[in-house]
Amino acid sequence: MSAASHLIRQLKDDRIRVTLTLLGVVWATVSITVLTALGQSVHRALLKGEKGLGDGLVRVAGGVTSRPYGGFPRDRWIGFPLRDGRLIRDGIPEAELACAEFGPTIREIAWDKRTMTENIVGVEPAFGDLRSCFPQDGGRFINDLDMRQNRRVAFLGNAIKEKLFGRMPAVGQTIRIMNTPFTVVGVMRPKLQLSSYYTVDKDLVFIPASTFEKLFGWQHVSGILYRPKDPASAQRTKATIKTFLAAHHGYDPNDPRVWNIFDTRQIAEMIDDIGIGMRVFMFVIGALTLIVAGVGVANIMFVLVQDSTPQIGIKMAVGAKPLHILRQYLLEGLALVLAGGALGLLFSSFVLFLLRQIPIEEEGLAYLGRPELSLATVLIVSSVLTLIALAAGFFPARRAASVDPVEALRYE
Amino acid sequence: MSRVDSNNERLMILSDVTKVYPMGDTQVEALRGVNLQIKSREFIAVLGPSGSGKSTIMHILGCLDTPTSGTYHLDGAAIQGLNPNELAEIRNRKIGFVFQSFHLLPRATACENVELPMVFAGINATDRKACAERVLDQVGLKERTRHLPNELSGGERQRVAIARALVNRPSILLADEPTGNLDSRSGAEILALFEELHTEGRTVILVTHDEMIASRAQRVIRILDGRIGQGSSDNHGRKE
Repeated sequence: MSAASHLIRQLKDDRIRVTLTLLGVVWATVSITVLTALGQSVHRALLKGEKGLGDGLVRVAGGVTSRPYGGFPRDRWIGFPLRDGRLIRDGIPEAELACAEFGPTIREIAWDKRTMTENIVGVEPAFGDLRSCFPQDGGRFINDLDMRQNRRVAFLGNAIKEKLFGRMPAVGQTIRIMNTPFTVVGVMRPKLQLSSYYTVDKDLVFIPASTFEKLFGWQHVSGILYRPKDPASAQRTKATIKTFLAAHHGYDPNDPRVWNIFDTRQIAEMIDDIGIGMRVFMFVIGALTLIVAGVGVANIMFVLVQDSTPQIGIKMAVGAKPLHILRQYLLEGLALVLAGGALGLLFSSFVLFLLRQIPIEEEGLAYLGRPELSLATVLIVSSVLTLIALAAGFFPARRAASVDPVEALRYE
Repeated sequence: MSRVDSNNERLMILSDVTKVYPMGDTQVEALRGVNLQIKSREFIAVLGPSGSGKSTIMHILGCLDTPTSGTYHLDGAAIQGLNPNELAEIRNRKIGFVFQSFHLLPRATACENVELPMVFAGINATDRKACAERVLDQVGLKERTRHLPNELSGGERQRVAIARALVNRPSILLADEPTGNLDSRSGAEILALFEELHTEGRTVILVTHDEMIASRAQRVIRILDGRIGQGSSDNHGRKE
């Protein structure tokens, strides 16, 4: 009689107990599977959200010198003018899409009878590609002509557009920024952005950097952005720019306070660490649930061994070795756990399917991502299940194998 | 008569065998120095009242249990000191057990019960089934192979148990009160079956408290208080 068929007969005899144990295993499998899948999808969502700020983006900003250099005293303010963006763009080709950025500055904007106070930034055309600020159909981003002619045009973050225009089309309309008319040339396509260094792009009003400079009279940009062409030599590119800017503005290239750098790649690495930590955490919670279920399995296996002691005696009388008995109960435990595990995986894929139906446009839910039952998850869960089954089955099986046949035959 | 037999005819030899069981705080002496020799192809009855130690003798002869002291040789090999795996192997190949309360697996069919010893001998499923059906036919249960024990009469259950005892072709059959739970007619049939199996060349050892049943054997060993008692007889002349 195979372990499976024996188990099925046992199931018939002992329906409630076996069913409850099975449910425990199913539940534990669902928790470990769903938690592991969620950990994976949150990790993915965080990385994707980070890319929303700009894939591999580096931002360099000026600061105050902390040491004397070249005859100048310390505590000098070093700022970068708008032309530095072009200088880097032209002089350091390994820094892709280099561009300068002004702002944000909080100003009053108005359209029709609506007035709001919002963040205005001045950007160069490369900013659009660098930060994945792509226009919705029928619009465009800031271009070179806008820059050269100091045009009064604006590109709106999609949240600003909603607030100002609602469902009305915005492109072609004229808005007022500090009572200066600006033509809306584009609206940003919604994107997942989970990090920023002041506010997320959907809440920004973008105007040409040259226009910004004239309108607000800023002498220094807030930062220079770029993306290293070759991620492998990102450190060397950073050093090149550092030296270039220091030489250009006459300060110590190793002065740490001037060199304010923001590198999304470092943040991505941090997110990776957080993601892995979170996944381990969720896996451990799931595994603990599974261990509790394993205790349930061990418990019912002990009952099973107790109840079938006479049968164990009979088997031993006709020549079963302790190993035969051990193997039988180990396999029964395994069959019980794996049956529960299979049901659990099936149910998990249903739960994950339901989770995927939740609309994740909402900010908070965006972190959820799209949890899926990956092959890796199935393999991990199956191996944990097998381990737990063997551990849960071992002690009852060992007790069964150590039954004294004479005692067992007397036991009735 | 047994003293003049050559060694190789002595299938089972118990020398000064004792068996002590712990029972709570006290020790129960089930066997107190038993000497017994059983030859190949003998038909023996072990006769004694309940609590006399006759079942313990059977357990030791059948390698289900080992002596506390003394020695037991089966087929020339010492049994005391063997590990559970070696004992299991001997039970599987050399000994067939028949019990008073049948001891069938309740959830297995007659055929599956008979197959059981072959499972542990490592015989494949097809051969097992064929062999089990043949032996069930031999004991007159051809039509009952797919029945569960609770669908069979007492006599039929004991026939299944005998089929199971025979299926690995052991040379020794050990039966503990095999007719104890049967009506007189079924009991008589089962006894006739044992006599037939003896005639076919097997060593049959029958444990009983019933003088009438014991008288069917060639030799009667009387057990009282863990010792072989007076009046152990030899019925050879009468039987043959």
